[in-house]
Amino acid sequence: MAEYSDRKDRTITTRWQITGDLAKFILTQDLTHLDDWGGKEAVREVLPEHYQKNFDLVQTDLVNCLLEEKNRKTAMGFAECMGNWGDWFHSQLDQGKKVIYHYFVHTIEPMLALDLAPLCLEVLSGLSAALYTDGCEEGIDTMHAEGYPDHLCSSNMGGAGFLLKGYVPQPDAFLKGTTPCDPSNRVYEYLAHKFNAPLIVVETPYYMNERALKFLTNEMKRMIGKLEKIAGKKIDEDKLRESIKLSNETGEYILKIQELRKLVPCPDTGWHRPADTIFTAQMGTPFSRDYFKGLYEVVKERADKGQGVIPEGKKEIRLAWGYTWECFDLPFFNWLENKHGAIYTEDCLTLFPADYAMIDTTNMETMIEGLAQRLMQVPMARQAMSWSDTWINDFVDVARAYKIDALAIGGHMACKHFWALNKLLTDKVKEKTGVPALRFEMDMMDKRFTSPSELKRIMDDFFATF
Amino acid sequence: MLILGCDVGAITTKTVIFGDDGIVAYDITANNGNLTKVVEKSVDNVISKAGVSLDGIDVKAGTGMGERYIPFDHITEGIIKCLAVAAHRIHPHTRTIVDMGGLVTTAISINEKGKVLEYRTSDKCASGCGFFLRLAAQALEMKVEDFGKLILPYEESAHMGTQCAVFGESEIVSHINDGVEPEKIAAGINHSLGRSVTTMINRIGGIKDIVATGGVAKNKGVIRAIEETLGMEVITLSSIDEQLLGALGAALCAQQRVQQG
Amino acid sequence: MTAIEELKKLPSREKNPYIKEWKADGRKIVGFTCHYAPKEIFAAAGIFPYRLEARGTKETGLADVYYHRFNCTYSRCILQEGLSGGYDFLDGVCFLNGCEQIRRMYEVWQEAVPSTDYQYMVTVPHSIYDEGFEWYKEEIFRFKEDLMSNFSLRLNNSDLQLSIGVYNESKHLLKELYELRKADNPPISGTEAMKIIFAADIMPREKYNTLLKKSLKQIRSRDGIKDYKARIMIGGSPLDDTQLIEIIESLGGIVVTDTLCGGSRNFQEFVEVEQDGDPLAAIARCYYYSNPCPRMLGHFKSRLQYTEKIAKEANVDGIILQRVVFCDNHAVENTMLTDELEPKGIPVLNLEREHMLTDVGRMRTRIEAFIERISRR
Repeated sequence: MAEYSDRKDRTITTRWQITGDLAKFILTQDLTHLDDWGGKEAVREVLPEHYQKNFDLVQTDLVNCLLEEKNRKTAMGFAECMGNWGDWFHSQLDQGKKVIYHYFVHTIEPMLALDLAPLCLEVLSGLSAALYTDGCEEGIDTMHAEGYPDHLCSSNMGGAGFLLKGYVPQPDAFLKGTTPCDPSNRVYEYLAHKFNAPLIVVETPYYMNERALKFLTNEMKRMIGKLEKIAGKKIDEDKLRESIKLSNETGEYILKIQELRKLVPCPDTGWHRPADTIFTAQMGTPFSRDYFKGLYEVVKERADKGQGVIPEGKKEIRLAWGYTWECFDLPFFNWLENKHGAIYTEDCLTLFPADYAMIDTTNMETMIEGLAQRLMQVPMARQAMSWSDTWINDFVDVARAYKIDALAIGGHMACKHFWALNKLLTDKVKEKTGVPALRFEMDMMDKRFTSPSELKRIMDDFFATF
Repeated sequence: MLILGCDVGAITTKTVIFGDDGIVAYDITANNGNLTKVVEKSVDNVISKAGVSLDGIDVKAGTGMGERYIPFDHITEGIIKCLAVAAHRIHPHTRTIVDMGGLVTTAISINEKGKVLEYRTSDKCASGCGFFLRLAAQALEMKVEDFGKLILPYEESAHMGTQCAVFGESEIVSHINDGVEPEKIAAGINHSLGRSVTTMINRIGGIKDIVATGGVAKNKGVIRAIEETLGMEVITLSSIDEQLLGALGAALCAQQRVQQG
Repeated sequence: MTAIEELKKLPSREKNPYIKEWKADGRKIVGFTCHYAPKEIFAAAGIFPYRLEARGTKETGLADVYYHRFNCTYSRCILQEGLSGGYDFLDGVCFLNGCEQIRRMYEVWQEAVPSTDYQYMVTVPHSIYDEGFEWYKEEIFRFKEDLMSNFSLRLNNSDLQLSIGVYNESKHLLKELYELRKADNPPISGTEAMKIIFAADIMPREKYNTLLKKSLKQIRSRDGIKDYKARIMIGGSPLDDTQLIEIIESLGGIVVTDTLCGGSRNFQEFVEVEQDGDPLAAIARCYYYSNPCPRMLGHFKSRLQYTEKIAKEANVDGIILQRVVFCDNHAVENTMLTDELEPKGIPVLNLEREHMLTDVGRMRTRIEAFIERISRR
């Protein structure tokens, strides 16, 4: 039996480790549905004892979704990567490495090159929301109890609450790019103040031009300087190069998968898209590379055979998600495929620009500039912290390149900048491509705002109008 | 063929029986308590009025946010499509439907064939909906039905500025305590609802003929307020109770399905 | 009409007599959305800078078509004015990325307010540091060039120096006003004072200075206000009218100071050209470094110190931190400040409101209870 930590400050990350191992165990059994063995309770009975408590927490629908034939390989890849990441992260903590809580827009290569232990606050919220019946609501509610209102972003609030509860390690510093928004900036400011930890701020300019890139490159240098102070050493150029090469490789796979999604029928499933974002926050690690490599192989195999992911006989409805996904019900996207034939092409959080991947690793200057370019272009941040036409044009391009039938936009309630743009975005996309849009309110992480059953009702009503 | 259409809404359940010559009978029952029991009661009422039994119904269809509480086998239809199909059937020149329900206001744009082009719902805010009218009526000790008679120009009505139905009640109490006549407050509420609904219409670009449906459409004060703000006529259908479009639409959609095999 | 009356009663937007007068001479009026807009530059070029406000706006039907209920009513009311013709008199608008609610208004305004010929966005970094200053200074320079080019205007350093002089004079006069308010028996209520302060950003500044000087003379000669229960400082989201202050003062409070961006933040520092030698750089330096705005990441401690300093100098009994519903910056800032101030024995009331004050009864109850708590008598 694997050894799992019982430290309170590793509650969340240990949970993930166990779930990763549990998932690997279940996925290797001869099951296509928990009912094959008599339901969740019956399966629980046959599980090794150390998995049972964790199994109780995992969403039943998610397990059944991942057991479906079309999802198994990717699910296994996800479980392996999650488990491997958990092992690695705990080993960093055991070695006494300093913990840097960072916003998900930051790829972590510089932190890895400084032997720091990066932990993405939003992944704390997202992975918990995705896997468990109790989601990250405890974290969100903890922040509410401190007086911070529900119109702040649950992607920050969940993880922030876990920090306050002591379920994750104490921070040595916080790292925040100023993209995309005020709510996220404010939560990081609060946390840095609360924990009396340094807050490293990286200003991401509003523009995407030479001037902005020059400025942001300098910001990256400043960031590295501050991280060096925390690490107590200078950044190792070779280590930086090594992790950037890994993230380049990862980026290549991401772009290749993106191209394959343009095919009709679409060879990629939708349930794992929030998981994709979770692993892009780990770009620079072998786990992230392995995850996307595995995903690419699955998608490529289907593409080579001309296979889609919807049931035989259904007409494929090609959706793009104009903003974020919901993270608390991954099987929802599977349900869309199976019930409505509605596939997932892209969304704002996973739409990578074509020039995103390749960072020139020749020397420190080229690498730092490449990292700056990445930060400027990272999905969602790129659209959010810039002019509205970036967002609009990106989705006009998606509508055309992916041949979409409709734009679905679950507008995250905390995103004021999105809601100020919502009509322009949908009107302009429709004007230029004829593609209609569905807009509805939801919260990315908190399933109490728009529940899974309500989401389904909204989509049922929408597809009835097709 | 006899078709039963049942629309389980936020505040009321509406059931129609539709035959070859049109609506045979209908029922509107308030949602008090267990929704399944409410549906059963509404269905019992309507089949009793029609003089038939449930087994005698050829096709049963359900729609609305509470559709899953319908206890018998039925075809499920999306509410947006139901509203579109029904409005177009009754008034073929309809191009915009604004359904003003208990908790949700929906604006729907349709083409000449009744196909839905675009729609927007008011999501999680009840400030432009029937629920707010009920709260207001309680606060003013008036009947909801009487609100429709209170048509005053905007400048003579009490100003209702709140963005929230719950705090709206508090605002009403403030007006009462300031000595504002209840009629002016009610007229102000009509204007407030009218503005919210007009915003929904403008979000999808209202094209005439604009048809109002749902319980709040019975309130002529709100209709007048919408027309004033929008600058366009808003039609309420005289041949059918405004609340029945969803249930009728479910019946019509189910009929289409059956006929297409 | 006395100078005080003229300032207090100055109407907004199309009813503002200075607008008609200015435009009759063929001169330009350019709106701006936030305190980081460099007013001295507009004025140096002969442009009347008008801070966008939504005084008296009662509903947001047109704005709600573009924006959404999660966008605050402050931003929606301003947009409503734009969409309904309330800002047709503007020749242009300088938008800034001051906050999430306002920054996207740039594109919506471009799309849906055709009467505004000229629009520009000045972007301000979200933290205060030297490289950020260089960025902001460059932004100001580019804005100046674009403004001049668009309106075929010229300005040189002496125009800027003159304009700096005018705005510095305003700051001196406003500081004097706030000094008078610190008295044990202030000669002016918070309501009156805020009305006078709001007038600054909606009329030509030289004229404002003249009227303010006269007003100060009148104010100094008044008897002080004795019958109040508690001295209050107000902070939080931008206020552009005095309804909330009137409620506070009707319940026995007297608002003697504030940390508002339309209030005391306006005159914390003066533009000093000597340091940079370059008036444009000096203007940028003053705006960038001296505004304790919660949008700036990593500076909470200095804002806390500023809040405590202002409160102490005015000898306040308590602080009311208000915010518009959905204002993210002040939602967090107000809570963080409260958590620091209360343990130090400085009572704080947190209030949430809409831009157009509704539900007044509930608000009165809360303020009344707070005043009772902190009452001197």
